[in-house]
Amino acid sequence: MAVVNYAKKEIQFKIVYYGPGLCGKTTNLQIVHEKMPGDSKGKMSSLATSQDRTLFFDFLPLKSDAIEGYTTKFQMYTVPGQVKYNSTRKLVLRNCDGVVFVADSQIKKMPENIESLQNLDENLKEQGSSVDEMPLVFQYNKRDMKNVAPVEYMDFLINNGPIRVPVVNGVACDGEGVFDTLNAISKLVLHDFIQKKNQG
Amino acid sequence: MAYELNQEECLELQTELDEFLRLSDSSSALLCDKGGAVLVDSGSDEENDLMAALTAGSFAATRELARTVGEEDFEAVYHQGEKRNLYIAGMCEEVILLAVFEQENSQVGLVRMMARKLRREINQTLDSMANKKEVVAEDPTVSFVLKK
Repeated sequence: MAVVNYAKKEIQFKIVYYGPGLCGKTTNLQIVHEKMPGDSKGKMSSLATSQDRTLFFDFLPLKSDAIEGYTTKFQMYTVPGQVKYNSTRKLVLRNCDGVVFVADSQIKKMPENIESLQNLDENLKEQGSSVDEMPLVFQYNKRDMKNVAPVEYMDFLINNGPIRVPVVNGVACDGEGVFDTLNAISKLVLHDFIQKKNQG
Repeated sequence: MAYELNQEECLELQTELDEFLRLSDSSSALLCDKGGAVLVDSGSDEENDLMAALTAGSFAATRELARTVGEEDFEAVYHQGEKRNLYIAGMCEEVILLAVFEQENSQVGLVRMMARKLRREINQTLDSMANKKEVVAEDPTVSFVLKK
């Protein structure tokens, strides 16, 4: 949930990158951290295992002036993708305002994508939300790999809810689609906030 | 869903946190929510977003550990370093305190006592924040506009 501080004229949003293990969530944040100008970003922190697998979360604070008169902060998190870390994923999802679901485009990874999306929905429902209500963007990552599933097939498998979720095709390790994804989710989060806020 | 800190609440929390910093001889302190967002800070604002994110994570992990060993909750977490120590304590269901104090300037007993005092002092403000079920702007004419 967004935190609005009228005294400091500051709004904070929390965006979480979700998806199956090794789909590229951390890589997305690393690329954003690498390419973002210095004054708009904070220090990136990764709580990872010795094999560089995310253990708890990665964290990257970003700053913008997207809303007139307010400093807008986006706190970017990733979750650990491995199935066994579900309790950790729930903790990271707490109070989040938007989710990027990073799907692995390799055809053999489709069952893991579906399972991870169902897991996201279950965890959001425990917090009184769901994938249908939460601002959400899909990134179909690793489009450069061999044996990738066609986009239409991935849509059929995971983007089949009542509202079609915006999709960005990406090759996160080369930076492709990373900022398009970030722009898409931040726009959705801001619009969602402003709509709810101005409806009052 | 959003929660808001109006001028009055922010001032109240800031004043009490500044007082906590003074009384506990800590070098810096912050209050954050359990999602990792900073509410107010005192002493230093260096890397506070990161500190808040890690504080929320550490506190949440500790709570899970507590439940695993049959405790409802642990009141606080204390990390002892060579020169600097951290004290993390729950203030209410949603808000956590992080205090950083130097080994040579303060002691964990003092910080713990002052943290309990702080919890009592800000209880009412935190209650009123938690009970704002609907998002109501401080000034109903306030509207949020996206920059072009």
